[in-house]
Amino acid sequence: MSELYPWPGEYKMGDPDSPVAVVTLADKFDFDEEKVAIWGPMKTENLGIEKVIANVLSNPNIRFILICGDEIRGHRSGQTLKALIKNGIQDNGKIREADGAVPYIENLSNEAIERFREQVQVKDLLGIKSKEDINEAVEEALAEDPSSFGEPYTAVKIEEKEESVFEADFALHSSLKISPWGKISKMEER
Amino acid sequence: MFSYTREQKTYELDDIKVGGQPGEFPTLMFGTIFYEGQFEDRTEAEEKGPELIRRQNKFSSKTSVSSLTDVFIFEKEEVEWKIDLALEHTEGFFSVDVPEAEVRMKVLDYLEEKNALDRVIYNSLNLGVTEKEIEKLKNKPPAGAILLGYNPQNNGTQGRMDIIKEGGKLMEEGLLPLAEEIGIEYKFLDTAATPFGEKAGETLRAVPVFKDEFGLPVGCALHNTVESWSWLNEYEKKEDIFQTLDTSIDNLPVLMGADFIYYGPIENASPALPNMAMVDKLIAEGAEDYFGIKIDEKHPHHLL
Repeated sequence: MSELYPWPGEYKMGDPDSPVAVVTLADKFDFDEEKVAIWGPMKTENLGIEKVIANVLSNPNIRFILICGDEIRGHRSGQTLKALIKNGIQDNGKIREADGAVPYIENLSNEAIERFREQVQVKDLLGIKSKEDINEAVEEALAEDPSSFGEPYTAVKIEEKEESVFEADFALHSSLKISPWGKISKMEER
Repeated sequence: MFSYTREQKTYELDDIKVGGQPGEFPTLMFGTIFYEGQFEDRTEAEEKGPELIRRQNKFSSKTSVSSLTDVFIFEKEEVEWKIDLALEHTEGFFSVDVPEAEVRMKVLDYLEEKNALDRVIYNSLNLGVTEKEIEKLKNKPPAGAILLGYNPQNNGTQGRMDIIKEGGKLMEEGLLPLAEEIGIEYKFLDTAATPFGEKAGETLRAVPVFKDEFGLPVGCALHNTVESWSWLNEYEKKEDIFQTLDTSIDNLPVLMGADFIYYGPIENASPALPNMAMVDKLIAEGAEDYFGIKIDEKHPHHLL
């Protein structure tokens, strides 16, 4: 695996050799550190999913994503994650057949998304909160004992550079002006 | 303490005036009711909700800071009773805050049935709008809408503006031309609060940029940035720390020139409204003294 899971988030880490990651959606559950590689809630159907993808890709030992707990109302991030793995994304980044409010992946490359879709299988326990049922699903995944997916993959966040596209100044003080972008300069420089 | 050379549109929502130059009118404060976890069930919501609306109204009257109720609706099954409650216990305008397109469409149907489309601010018209929803909006346009500048592809100020203006690379047209096509009269531009680590500061920078570019009322819901701040996870949402931070963060966009604020849970009407009265008063004094702005007569500047 990569030296570190690359993206920050609200998660806990267990055994990096485990093939199981658990997304608990609106709930907060704890797991046996010897059985699960990483687990935590996932709130949003865009940035939240991106963080899960980046963290899972950094560890090729993870081959299952177990989705459990209550769905995030309004965001539908659990359904959206399942839709992403099943259907992928459109050219504009929109996740196909997702019910989430704003289901877009914009900060990861297509290569990263396709690798994620190939690396993991979904264990669908959406809406299930019973720890017994969830732990049973973890055990089933462990029993399948899949091999590693190969080399770790580091998902680089794509960022667009910001450029000012118009100029307009307004006064902050008789001797100062400030552009709408926040640049302060002396008035005589107009 | 800004003043814009560009003319700034003012809306009159019954007796509420919003927009204009910084300091000219009190900030319009939206308090949200029926958010996740607020009430145990519908019975409790119907019992306690009206009192919270009355309490917000009371603090508006005391402070002369205007306010409207923002009604959060998650599921189709909640549409009728939540809107019925809003219609019965609010006067004039209210906002409907609905994340899912399918639910928003049902809201439009029910508002039409109740002959109440002219009382509603649709929260929000955003990137997630569907073709079916646009068709329905054209047939049943609400009086107002929040145009959300959220752009997952580029959450800098330019990206947020692109979504409003021409759709960025994600939509065929911008939310503003779309709102005009639909026939929405009151267009409120939301700079789209993002979490810390996701260019949260651009939510503020976008305020003067939007005001200068579009000349329309601008605002945001920065309490969402507070609530997504992970170090606060150890605290319960009902603890004082959230109320304090939710309230204080609202001062920043208003100082940058914002006209409206979604301040979060309606329980926070106090301190949120008295706090904003103080901020509005200070900004109004600066605007009057320095820029010669005529401050509206219904403003804490004159009344408190």
